[in-house]
Amino acid sequence: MSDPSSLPRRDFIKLALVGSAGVAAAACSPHGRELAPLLVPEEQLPSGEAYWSRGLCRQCDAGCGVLVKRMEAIVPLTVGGKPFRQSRLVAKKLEGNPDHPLNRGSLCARGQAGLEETYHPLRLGTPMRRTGSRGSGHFQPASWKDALAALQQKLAAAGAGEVGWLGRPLRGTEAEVVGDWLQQRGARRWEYQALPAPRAVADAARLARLPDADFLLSFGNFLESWPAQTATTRAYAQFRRAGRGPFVQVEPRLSLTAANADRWIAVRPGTEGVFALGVAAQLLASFGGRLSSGGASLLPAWLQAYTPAQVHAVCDVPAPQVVRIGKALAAARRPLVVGGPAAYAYPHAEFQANAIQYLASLTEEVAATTGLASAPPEENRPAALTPAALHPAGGLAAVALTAPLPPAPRLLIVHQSNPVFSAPPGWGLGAWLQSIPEIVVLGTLPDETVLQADLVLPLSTTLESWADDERLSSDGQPIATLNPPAMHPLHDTRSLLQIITELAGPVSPSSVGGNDAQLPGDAAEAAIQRHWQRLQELNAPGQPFPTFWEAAVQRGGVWSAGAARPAAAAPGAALQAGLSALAAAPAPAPATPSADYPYHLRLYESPVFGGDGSGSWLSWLQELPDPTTSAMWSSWVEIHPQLAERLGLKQGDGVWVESRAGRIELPVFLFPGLHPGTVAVPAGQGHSAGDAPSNRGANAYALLDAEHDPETGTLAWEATHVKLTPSGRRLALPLFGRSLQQAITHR
Amino acid sequence: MDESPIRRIQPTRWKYALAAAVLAALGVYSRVRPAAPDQPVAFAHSVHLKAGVKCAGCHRDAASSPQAGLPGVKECALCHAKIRTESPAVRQVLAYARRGEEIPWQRVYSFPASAYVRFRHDMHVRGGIACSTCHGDLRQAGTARVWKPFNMGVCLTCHREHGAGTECEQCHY
Amino acid sequence: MLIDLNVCTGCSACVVACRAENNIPITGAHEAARNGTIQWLHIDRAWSGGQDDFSVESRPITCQQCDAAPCEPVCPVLATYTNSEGLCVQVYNRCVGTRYCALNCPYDQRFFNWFDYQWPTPMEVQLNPDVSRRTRGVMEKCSFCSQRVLAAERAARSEGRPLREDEVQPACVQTCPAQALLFGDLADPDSRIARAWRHPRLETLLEELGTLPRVRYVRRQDAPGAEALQPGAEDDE
Repeated sequence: MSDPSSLPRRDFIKLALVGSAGVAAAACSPHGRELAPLLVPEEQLPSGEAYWSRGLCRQCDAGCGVLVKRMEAIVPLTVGGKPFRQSRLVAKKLEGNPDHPLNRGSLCARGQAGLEETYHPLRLGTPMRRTGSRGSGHFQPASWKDALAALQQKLAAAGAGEVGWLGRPLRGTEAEVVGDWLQQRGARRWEYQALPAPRAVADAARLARLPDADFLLSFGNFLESWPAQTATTRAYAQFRRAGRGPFVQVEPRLSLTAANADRWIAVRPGTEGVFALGVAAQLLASFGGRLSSGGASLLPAWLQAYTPAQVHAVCDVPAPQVVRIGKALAAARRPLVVGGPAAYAYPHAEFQANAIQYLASLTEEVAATTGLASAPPEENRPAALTPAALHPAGGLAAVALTAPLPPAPRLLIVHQSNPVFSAPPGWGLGAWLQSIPEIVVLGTLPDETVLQADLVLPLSTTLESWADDERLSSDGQPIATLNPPAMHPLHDTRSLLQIITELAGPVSPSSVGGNDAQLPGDAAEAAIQRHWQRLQELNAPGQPFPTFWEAAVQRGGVWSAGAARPAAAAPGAALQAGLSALAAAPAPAPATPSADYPYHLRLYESPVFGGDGSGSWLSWLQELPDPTTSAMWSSWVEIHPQLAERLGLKQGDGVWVESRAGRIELPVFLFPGLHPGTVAVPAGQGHSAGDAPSNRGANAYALLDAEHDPETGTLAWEATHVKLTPSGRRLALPLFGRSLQQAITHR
Repeated sequence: MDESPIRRIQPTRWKYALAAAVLAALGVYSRVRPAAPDQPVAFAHSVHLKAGVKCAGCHRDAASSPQAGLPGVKECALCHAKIRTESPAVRQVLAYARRGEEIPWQRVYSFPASAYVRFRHDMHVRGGIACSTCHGDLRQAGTARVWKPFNMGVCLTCHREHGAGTECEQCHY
Repeated sequence: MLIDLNVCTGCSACVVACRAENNIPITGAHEAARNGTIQWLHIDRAWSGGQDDFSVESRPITCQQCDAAPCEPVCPVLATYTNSEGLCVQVYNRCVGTRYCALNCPYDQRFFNWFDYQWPTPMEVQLNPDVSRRTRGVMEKCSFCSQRVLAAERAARSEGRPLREDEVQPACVQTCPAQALLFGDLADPDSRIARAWRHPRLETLLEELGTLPRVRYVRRQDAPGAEALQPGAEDDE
């Protein structure tokens, strides 16, 4: 478990909440029976009418539309140092926006729990300046005026080219405003993702065809946090309801996605590519000469080396399984093969991706050539938005932050990212940050990266901000989502747009807003209106802007009227490209575990928390049993029962999981859903900063070896091997206790 | 390490809680509140009603919301910027308005938390129940006071009379 | 309520939606370790199979709203009863906390408040004012979001029209990305749920107890062609 003395957590929190200390005081004072403008019942919950507004969920990058249920409530506030309580319209619950093309009324667990971020007791409530040493957590509250003036000064002092921006991916107006601002300053810009998946983009696009598929072979966890849970789950439900064919999942660990498959194939980690080629060989073999366009040339000699016996030897999958899947793919009319982030998170990602993409294209080609493919009914309706009508990402483009780390800037601005928590130890991020003279962090919660800041600017949550989002859905549909603030900020916070527009200088009065009084909030709104005005000019040139805007606010955004399902793209070109790449390079052997570190570590993105640790701050998610293990409030290491028996480990035994990079102590969870040489640890728990509920379990990122995909340079987070040493202690591992089916089965 | 952000209050005075629950179960809500709490301003319902202000003029949400609603101090000040500015009570109101502070009106009717009961003004107003049925004739009154003792017997008698339903979860949820 | 296990992925969105709607307290790790967690709706996970065919099946379980509810006759103060709409109602103000009902519920779906839970500031601001905050000594369970049903009924009545079928959705049904949950009025023979209620693939939990649950499940079954992919299937060469 985390060492409570490693960081002065509680002190920090006290300071972090200085701005809202009055709030706490107000809450402690015996609430009398005074009535604000609204009657307050005894339990101080004014009952009232619900007002619904529409907005955007930004708990992950999927971009779902939400409905916000707002009601009047008594809110504890501090004004001028004096605590008082005011009746205000606040967000009470989130639901999916039924009109939004991505989520169509649904919302995932993370999205539902996103509400808690706004009301989080540890929210950063006021700008702060560091007073102690970095990481000491000693801060002093500052006013926004002073904080922004200090930032302006730092910007001026840093000079051109010496300002760096490190943040999560931005979209819509934020992307434009921040990109432009950084470009004007000659800044450098990095994007940070804890578990990057740049190669899985084609697979995310393929998933759009899932509803029409009659056979699904998947290597990716598409029912979890990638790429967009609500949309893919809906597509999956359509696939299941149609009942056309089976779903086979190939993974070293039984994930939530694999749990839903008809067959789960426990492949040896890192050999997914070989498995895909073995299946491809079987697929082609089972067709023989029936392929009209020279099928023989499609089965090159090098592919013939991937015999079922060879696949069995490499992948540890029974040979007949490979044959069966090849045959089933050959017989399918609309087969679908999708990869996924974890399959590409190896140093030999290039081969894995090429092999899986090759199988995917080949499957489509075969189905098309043999005339078995039947096109799904077209549902194309005229689009209100065209893909070209979205803004090109203007301003300064971001590059992914990865090792070796770039030369340190003089001033680093970190926005809503926590690399200190999740970067592999081998990156040397700590030393890199130490070498940066000035660090400014924009965030909502006091995480590890905030502790390294010299200046902290607290952000309003999406519920409290003007925000928007522009994207193409995985099936190529343009979607622009609009998010007016659903409530006043609870604390002295500002939105990203407010901060940047203020830093960028006075804003010219918007021609459309008609409101010349440029309050900070209006500046954000005006920036979004300017952005949306161009959207209107491109998409609805005849329409007066106020009408367009009003409709967007009412509906929660702008998108095309109907869901257009893309037909399968002509696979020929992709197939040839994949073939030549594969023919040129034979299968690289996946790194074999050494005697020192004998087990493959599957660091998986918790379907509940997400991988980057931002979800583990939310007690609603901590209280939610893990979808496959039922564990709560903790992290653990999943070990195959056979391996555990060999090591003499029982459920709940403490074990040191140690890699070349570091070691953590975790309780053992016996889980048969693993390839026997694999141990699995959920990522996202174990914050050292913050108080309950965030500091539960241990941080699995401490184990990550700094291995990279040599072609893209991204982190290969499946390349870590570990050893296990029993610690001799028993560790708490609370499991959700009510399992009716289990009780019945075991009766 | 505190595992939960939600703190538990350890069992104390549980006998009292049990007694309250039993009383609640029997539908005997003893009123511990004063019938007419001291209000910060000596508001006169009589004056306003006689001047022709309707109930819904100030308690605007009564027909549309669970709460009848109270006007904010700004709304008081709107009329009283001109009307009877010399009265001591009005001066008090205007002083609150100048400070931007809401008047800390005291609750008159309330239920104990253990009653788990929800009263909705809108359903009653829309059902044609006159305000005076429960609140009495305020044309004769200053500040409001408890006119009708509220217990389950009173509620149920009226509900039965009007065929308004007597399912528990209609009010207790 | 009808739950389609073929499309339920176990994503748990319903569980969090239920928590947000019904002011369910966070009981913490300590309570979790001794089976004291309050969750009106949970995803039941059943492990099955061995080395070759290990699988985990998810099944959302909530109060089964039994027609012959075993929890009801044992309550000494009639704090739980079946109302005219067929809903098994928990009346908090009547409950004196004997916990007999929890003992008698074969589905383990009744939760006792052993403590008063206080939400830290400002989390209490989020609480749904249309649902009571339960105090110590009170039993609670799934209410099929009766407050949402009542609100929809009120809205329909004030507009002078009958209740539309899709208007009433408990929080779990509303949020489900797979639309695996169907909620409706069984008393209305034309409703979607009434038409689906007699489907041959439906199952009830612990049917042999004769509790007549008003929650039924569409049994999960393999997709066509899946049996050919089973280890040891006949078509091996």
